[in-house]
Amino acid sequence: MSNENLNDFYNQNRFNKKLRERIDAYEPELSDSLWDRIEHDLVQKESKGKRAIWMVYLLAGLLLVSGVGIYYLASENKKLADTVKEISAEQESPVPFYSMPETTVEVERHVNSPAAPETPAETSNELALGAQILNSAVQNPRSYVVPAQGAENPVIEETVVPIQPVQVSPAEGDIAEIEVAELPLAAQIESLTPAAFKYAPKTLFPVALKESQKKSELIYPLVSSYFGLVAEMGSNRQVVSGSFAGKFQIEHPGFFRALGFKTGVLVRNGWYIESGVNFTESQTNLWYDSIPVKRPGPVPQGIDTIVVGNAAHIVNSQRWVEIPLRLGYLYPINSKLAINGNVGMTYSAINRSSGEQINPDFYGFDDYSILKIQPFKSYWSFQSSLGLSYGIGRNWAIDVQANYRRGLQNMNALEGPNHPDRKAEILSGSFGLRYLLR
Amino acid sequence: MTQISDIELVQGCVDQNRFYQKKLYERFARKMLAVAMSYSRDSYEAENIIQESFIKVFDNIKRYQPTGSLDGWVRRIVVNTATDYYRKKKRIKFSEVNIEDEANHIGALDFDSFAVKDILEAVQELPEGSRMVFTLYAIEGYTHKEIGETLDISVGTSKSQFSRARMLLQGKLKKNEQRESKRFL
Repeated sequence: MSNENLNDFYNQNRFNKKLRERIDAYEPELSDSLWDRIEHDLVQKESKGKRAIWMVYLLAGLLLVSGVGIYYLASENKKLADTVKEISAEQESPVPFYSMPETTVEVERHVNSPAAPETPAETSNELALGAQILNSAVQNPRSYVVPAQGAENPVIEETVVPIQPVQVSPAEGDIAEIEVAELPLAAQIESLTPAAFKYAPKTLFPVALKESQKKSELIYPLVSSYFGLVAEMGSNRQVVSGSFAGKFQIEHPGFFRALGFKTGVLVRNGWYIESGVNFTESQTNLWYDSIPVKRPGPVPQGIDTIVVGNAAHIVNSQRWVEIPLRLGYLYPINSKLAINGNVGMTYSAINRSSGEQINPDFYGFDDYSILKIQPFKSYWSFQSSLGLSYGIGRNWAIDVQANYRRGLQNMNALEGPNHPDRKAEILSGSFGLRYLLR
Repeated sequence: MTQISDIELVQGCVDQNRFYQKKLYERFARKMLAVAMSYSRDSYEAENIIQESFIKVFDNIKRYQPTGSLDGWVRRIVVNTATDYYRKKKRIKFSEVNIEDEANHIGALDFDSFAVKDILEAVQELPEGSRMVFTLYAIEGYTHKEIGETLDISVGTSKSQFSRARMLLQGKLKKNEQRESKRFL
């Protein structure tokens, strides 16, 4: 190291040391509002934490209720299915008393006469007589008269007479015949008479379906539940980042996508209640210009100002967690296809928002490309969906729907006269797969 | 009134007690503002850095180990926040400067003749890249290798930026000195 460089080295160290000491000793005046701003942030963070805990409780509650509901419905449905099986099995077992088989039956003893016990009368004629008496009794109980003691024994002939089955209309409370055919369980249950349903648990008493609904595989006569996955994509208009001195002038719809879980309960006649959790990412295109100029002529709907001249482009991304609550209805078109519509409310909570600079060459843009980590925000939106549901087998269904959401609150993070008010608007298409618990 | 110890302060902040949080702020905020000012373009930005830093301090106070000084721990958070603020969010452009050419202009500066406020104002007028390297090297005592790792630049760039910063700082301070002396003539 030459002398000149050595001197420079020492000078540099002396320079650094002096500067460090003097800055360490320096205590500039603070603005009065700085602590207030910090305290405001702390309060927001604390409330965010409380809200996050509340959300966890809400989700846990939803999962618990769904889980218990699904378990309860599944077990009750199993009970009912077992009951139906038992009833079906009873139908297959022989000889209800009023419906004797068309065959010859051996009877050990006919005992309507005092003389009979001494003489075995195991003959077909005796059997035929017994059957006639029985039939007579069934058809007209009043006509059945037991022969008086000591009366003459009937003439017995050595011939076999087949006994004809007796057609009797079952009285109320009797068990009717159940056809156990190759029908879906729902149809089997539908075909049951009220007498059979007295064995079913009262809480799951089936809903009387319309004719069109009976044919549908998607609509179940019993209260039942389902769960499934949903993927969604579309476009959105959400302004969450602030405008800086009114310089974000144009907002174009951006890309929206979501993945979620849903669960629901079919409650009555095709009506269902549904909830779940969606994890979404939405983007909004923002254009920036230092000198916004309004273009003459009509301004297209949804655009505040047309910027003429040099501009830079920001894609502002937001990630949300959504909890929807919907009331829907399935209108069957045929056995497999149904129109599926629902309306409801969605609670959305933001967890992150960021701005991405697209045109880095734009002069002075650096100040406005700051990554904005937004404070926790939440909002409610109205939502509606319309589409089709298609049944695959007994347990699966595919849902294809068009969805529209509109926020009920403004989404602006920053306030100011130049900042346009916006409510979140999302138009999307979704694809869902559901597993129906039956 | 007795001074609250660092341990009491930390425990109070861990418990999210607003009184202790404010006491911690009052103890360190002014000193840390001086640090933040050397990284920022103006006092408004410096206050933003302080605001963000103290939120991080209160969020992470549980992780503070009493083996080190509380002052040093808070200062490290302020420095990290400041470097993050500019490195990630402002996308500083660092241009290579010929060190040999610049080194010829470096001379000794007598800082005793300048007020700290004036020095900080001159530092704030430096281009962002040079200011960042200058502050990390001269005030925080980082090596050029550490600066390279922190700001994701080469050692050569760090050295050239520092030389440039010194040259510019010297020029600015001398110019300010001349302006001041003319005022009193």
